[in-house]
Amino acid sequence: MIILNALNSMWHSTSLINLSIGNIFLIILGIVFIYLAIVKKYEPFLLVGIGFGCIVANIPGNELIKPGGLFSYFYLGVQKVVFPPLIFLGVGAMTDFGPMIANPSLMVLGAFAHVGIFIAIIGAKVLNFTLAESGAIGIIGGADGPMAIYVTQTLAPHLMAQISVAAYSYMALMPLIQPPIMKWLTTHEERNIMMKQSRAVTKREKICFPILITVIIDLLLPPIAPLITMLMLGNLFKECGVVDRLAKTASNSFMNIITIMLTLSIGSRMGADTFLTVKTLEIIVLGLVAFMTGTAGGIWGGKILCRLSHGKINPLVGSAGIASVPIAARVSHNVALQENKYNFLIMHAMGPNLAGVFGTAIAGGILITLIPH
Amino acid sequence: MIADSVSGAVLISIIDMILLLFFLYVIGLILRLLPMVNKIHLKSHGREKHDNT
Repeated sequence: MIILNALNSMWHSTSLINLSIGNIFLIILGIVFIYLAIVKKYEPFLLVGIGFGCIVANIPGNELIKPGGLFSYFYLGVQKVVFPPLIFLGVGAMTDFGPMIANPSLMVLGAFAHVGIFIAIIGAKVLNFTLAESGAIGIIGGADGPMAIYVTQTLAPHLMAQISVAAYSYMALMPLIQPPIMKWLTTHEERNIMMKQSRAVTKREKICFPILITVIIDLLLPPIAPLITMLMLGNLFKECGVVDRLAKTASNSFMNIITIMLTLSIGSRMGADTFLTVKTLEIIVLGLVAFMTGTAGGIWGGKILCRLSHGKINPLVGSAGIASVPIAARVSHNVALQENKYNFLIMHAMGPNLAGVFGTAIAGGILITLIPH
Repeated sequence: MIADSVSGAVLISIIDMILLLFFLYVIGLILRLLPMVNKIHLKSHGREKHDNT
């Protein structure tokens, strides 16, 4: 009897008694994320943390998730919009804006590839989300995680978990989502176009660029000033050549620390009780639509530029106009390589890819300004 | 004030797209002008002058 009572109290002290079907489903989803990261190498820096956070979030009673637990403090960085500007600092410190500076005519592709944002906004409104919620959902199509968090925190903070998970998951899954659309919308000849090498950009141009952009964006678009300012500060660290230590820290250890906290806090918001809803499903579908139509928009923009340049621009660089750096550029490069193993498109695709970072930030800033919240 | 309706969403999307194109065009324009900084001659002193020679 004593043994039975002991076993009974043991049973009640475990988390198993509160485990729901939803929890089990999301634990399996977390394992799938980790599998994709480890085996398929889909953005492991994002998916390992998100997947693990998701598993932990679905073990009932876990102290890490409870208010006052470690992950809840991590989440404050998302909630108080501290992480996005810090991530942008690291991104700036590791990014060479040379390809964008060298080829400004490709900047416009950063706009074409954002068609997905607007289609998702309209789709979300059709599905009866409020205009503010629709704006936050639409920004998933920009494929820029920090920007998605930034806009969502301003317009629809209650959808943070769903939107950040959708944005980061689709960013990680871009190598799966984009290539079929890119191949479907382009011909073999178009994919084979070899672009001319861009001009060399001087160190002086690279130093002036972040200062100029900071002044202009901060003056014209104050809502996105925190993000662009930090992006440009990180880039100035990199390019000025006198603070190498700061540039290395911002782009390596500092960025890694923020990534650990960010991915775990996003994954930890995937608890079954809040995450498994019809709204989540709708947001995930809308996010996918935004990514697919954004890719298509970018390719169509690339095709227009291809015509205008008399066949000098490979339309595949268009889909890189989606902000996710450098994932989208890498996808363009890989699709081109599949057609012609000597067609190295990566540096050409980086131009629109970096323009996409500005595109998402600008589109998000305009949404924050125009939509009442 | 933009209405919280489907037509409002369409309107906001159109405005956003136009402004996005405008801002990216402005940034593109600045990037086109950026090579001008190479024409500015800065006087070099001390170590920098020595490094350049």
